[in-house]
Amino acid sequence: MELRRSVEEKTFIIITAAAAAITSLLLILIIGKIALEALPALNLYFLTTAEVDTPGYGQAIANAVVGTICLSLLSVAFAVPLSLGTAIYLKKYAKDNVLTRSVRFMIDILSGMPSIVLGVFGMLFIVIYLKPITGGLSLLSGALAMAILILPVIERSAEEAIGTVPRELEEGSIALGGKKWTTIRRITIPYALSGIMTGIILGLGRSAEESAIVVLTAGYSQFYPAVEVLQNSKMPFGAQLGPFQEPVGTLAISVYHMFQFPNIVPRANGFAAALVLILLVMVINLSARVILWRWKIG
Amino acid sequence: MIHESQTESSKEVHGSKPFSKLTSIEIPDLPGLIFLLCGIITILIIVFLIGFIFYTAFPTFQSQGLYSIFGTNWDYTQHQYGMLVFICGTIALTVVTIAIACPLSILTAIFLAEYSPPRLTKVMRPMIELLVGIPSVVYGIFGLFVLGNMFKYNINPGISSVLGFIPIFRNLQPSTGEGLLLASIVLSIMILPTITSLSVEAINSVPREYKEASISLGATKWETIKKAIMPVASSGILTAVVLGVMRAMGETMAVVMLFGGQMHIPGSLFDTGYAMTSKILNDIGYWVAVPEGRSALFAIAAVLIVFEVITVAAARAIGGRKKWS
Amino acid sequence: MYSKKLVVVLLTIAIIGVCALVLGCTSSSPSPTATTTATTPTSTPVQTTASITIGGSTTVQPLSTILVDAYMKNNSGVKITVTGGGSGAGETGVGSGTLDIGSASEIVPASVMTQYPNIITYTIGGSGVCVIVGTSVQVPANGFSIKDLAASYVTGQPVANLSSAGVKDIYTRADNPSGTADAMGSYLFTSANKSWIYANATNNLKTAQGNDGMVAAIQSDPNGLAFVDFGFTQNANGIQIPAVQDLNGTVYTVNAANIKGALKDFFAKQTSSTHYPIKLVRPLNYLTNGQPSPAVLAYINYANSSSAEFAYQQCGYFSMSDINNA
Repeated sequence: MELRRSVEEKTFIIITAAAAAITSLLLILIIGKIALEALPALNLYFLTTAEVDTPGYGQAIANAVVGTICLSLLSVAFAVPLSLGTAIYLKKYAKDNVLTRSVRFMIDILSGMPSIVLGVFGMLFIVIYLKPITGGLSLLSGALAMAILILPVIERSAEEAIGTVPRELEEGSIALGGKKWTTIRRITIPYALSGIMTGIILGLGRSAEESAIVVLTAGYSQFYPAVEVLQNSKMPFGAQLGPFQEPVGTLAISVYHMFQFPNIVPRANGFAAALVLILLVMVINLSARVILWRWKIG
Repeated sequence: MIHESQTESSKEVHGSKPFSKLTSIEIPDLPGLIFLLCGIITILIIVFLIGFIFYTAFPTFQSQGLYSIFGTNWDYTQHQYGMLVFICGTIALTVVTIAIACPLSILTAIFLAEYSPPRLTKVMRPMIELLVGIPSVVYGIFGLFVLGNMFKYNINPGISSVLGFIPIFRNLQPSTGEGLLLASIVLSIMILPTITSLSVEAINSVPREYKEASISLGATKWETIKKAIMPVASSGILTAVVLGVMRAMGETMAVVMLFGGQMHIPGSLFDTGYAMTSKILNDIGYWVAVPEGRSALFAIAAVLIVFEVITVAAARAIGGRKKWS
Repeated sequence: MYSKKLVVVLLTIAIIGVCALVLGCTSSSPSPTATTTATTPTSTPVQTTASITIGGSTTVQPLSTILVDAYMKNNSGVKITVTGGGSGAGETGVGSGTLDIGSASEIVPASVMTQYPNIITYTIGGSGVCVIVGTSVQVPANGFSIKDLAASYVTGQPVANLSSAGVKDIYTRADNPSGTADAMGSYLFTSANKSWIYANATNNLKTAQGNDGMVAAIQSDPNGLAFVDFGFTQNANGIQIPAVQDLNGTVYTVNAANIKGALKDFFAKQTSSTHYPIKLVRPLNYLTNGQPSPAVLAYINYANSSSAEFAYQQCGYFSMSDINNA
């Protein structure tokens, strides 16, 4: 009896350890393989030249790197005010009743929404119907659609962060005669700031890696996003405001091109774009984790 | 007028909520109004999004009726839009993905939470969680260009020659490595971090007394896990699995590259299929500008939303909102 | 205090964002090491700043890419982006306004014209479609008959003549509709039934995206059979090109001269040709919605000019002047 139990125990230690080993090693395997395939293409020219300045297709990715960063930052800029405001209202002002619970349910639904659904919504509504404002397939369209995607990410982190502010601090502020907004401004938000920042950075990372939305709303451009005004007789005032109303290139689409044109885009280039994208998203996510870790420790 | 404070909410303890007890005025001050506006705009966006999709999809449901869900023919020129092939493709993909991902991630979670020394855990957890940072297109090209040939020449023939007598293991597509198994394996790698980290949290939140009581009664660690911890953590783990399901159902880019895109229901693990998300992605480029085709594709999106809402409701019912992260 | 760390992170993000914008504004254009222009364009540069998006046919796409590269070198104020998506996406994209120029490798079908009556077609050239098979297929000397190919596409299974030659898998285009696939469909079936070429629940055809995807599919599947634009067969190894037949059983070799001859007949509104099955040649079109803006018109004129000739040759297509002189 004892032997069976100890054998069973040891067996399961081995099984679970093996599972954990496999899972952890997957990361190294995948990134390692991608890096290996990407090596021939990783040179300074590839990384710092815009695709427009190279002949053909998919020979350089600098425009895509800049485009990805711009798109992510703009999406976050759109999403943060709305999600922060919603989080503050839900946590600090609203009573806990059926209404707020259904609001939270709806935000949960949004967070689980498949990105293709947001993509086709963006394509039909934002790109086609709202063309006079957004310029069609453009940075603005992509950022608006992406903002909807990351809204729940930021909102939930913000709510959690606000929820951890100790009551005593807030009550102390009230006892000292502070009004509600003053208390929020001076006590709650500063205390929760790390958690909120984490949410924002996670949203940033999410928008950098998202591809289904980008392919349907942001188009693709071989140029850097540039601040300029172009003539376009089909837009209101005959002007197209760059970079917002112009299409923007992103790394996710650079990688997708490798799938669409396996004979025109060199294989190493596609993998190199993938590697740069992975590193970009990882740096963003890691910084979020570091902030969160420091905040929880501190 | 003093407004009586309401009873403390028992289900959701979200930290401090002093104002409901302390303020006497119901109408929020100006900043509060701004935040309220933010909340209203957010809700309006969500409602508009879902409403717009269903509104655009309505003509298809109206003309096709139940055929849209259960019909098998999808043909624009014949004006027939039956989604069954795609729905089955998505379901098959989800089922196999969960079948692969669950054992792996739950066992990993058990190891991380119970057996692993803290220093090892500190190394392993980030490595698993960083898998989330790999974009789905990259998983797609990884699966296609790196794993594809392996599957086509080695894995698919290998497994089917050994287990081929069982229908589910027949190699129906010997000319390609794409198919249900490849797509499911890549998808399970994608959802591993989600299920694992949520399961670890669930296991860690089991009160220590349960463990200690079990050990003091003479049980081995594994028996403690099996009998005392897992049943308590099961709701959290189940929530994690449901979240994984949601991610797998909604995944687009990796699936479109790896599932094969043939219009039939997969007949075996090595067969190709067509998922709902892939169909939308492939066809929307052209048909978005044609009202009938657009409505049909939006109908697929509407069905996807319905699936997702059901999954969200299930996750909440099992685990409660707190478990989300 | 966390605030310092936060400030650092915020600053880093802000700096990256600013750098990105600055990079974008001040980007210079070093000349690429490999030039694609054989001659300098003779058309006078248009002094406007404009942004043009061209999208649609994957057949026209490599042509557009080369043309655009050359055009932008002499017209630095104009930014042109080229995307794909298939001829159908080009037609409806230009109609709905998401594209400035839609490219299509077919005549715009009536169904699209009724929806977008203002579409104007500028034909810039022509090309031909052919069948390709993988390296494990024993190609018969006379190629495959229309009857055999059509039956194989309808059922999704190669008929006896094909399977005995080694064909196991039949491929069609995933992007629906595609000009190339439409041409193949009207060749194998009739114009009214050309949609049978696409995958559906009965035929269970394998699919590939774009011309390039079709080539790649055959390269990795030596027992496969697919159809592509002739231009994509140049420089592609790992594929074989069988001869094509017409309904009478006449055999045509697939080469540039034959396709060019058939294109000349096509544009002369003939219903058949002695050079190549006329259903398999098609025009390459740029489409605009209504009158194009001056910048767009300037580019289209460039595409039709003699200085753009090199681009067609590079792609394996034929410009209008080339066809007219054939």
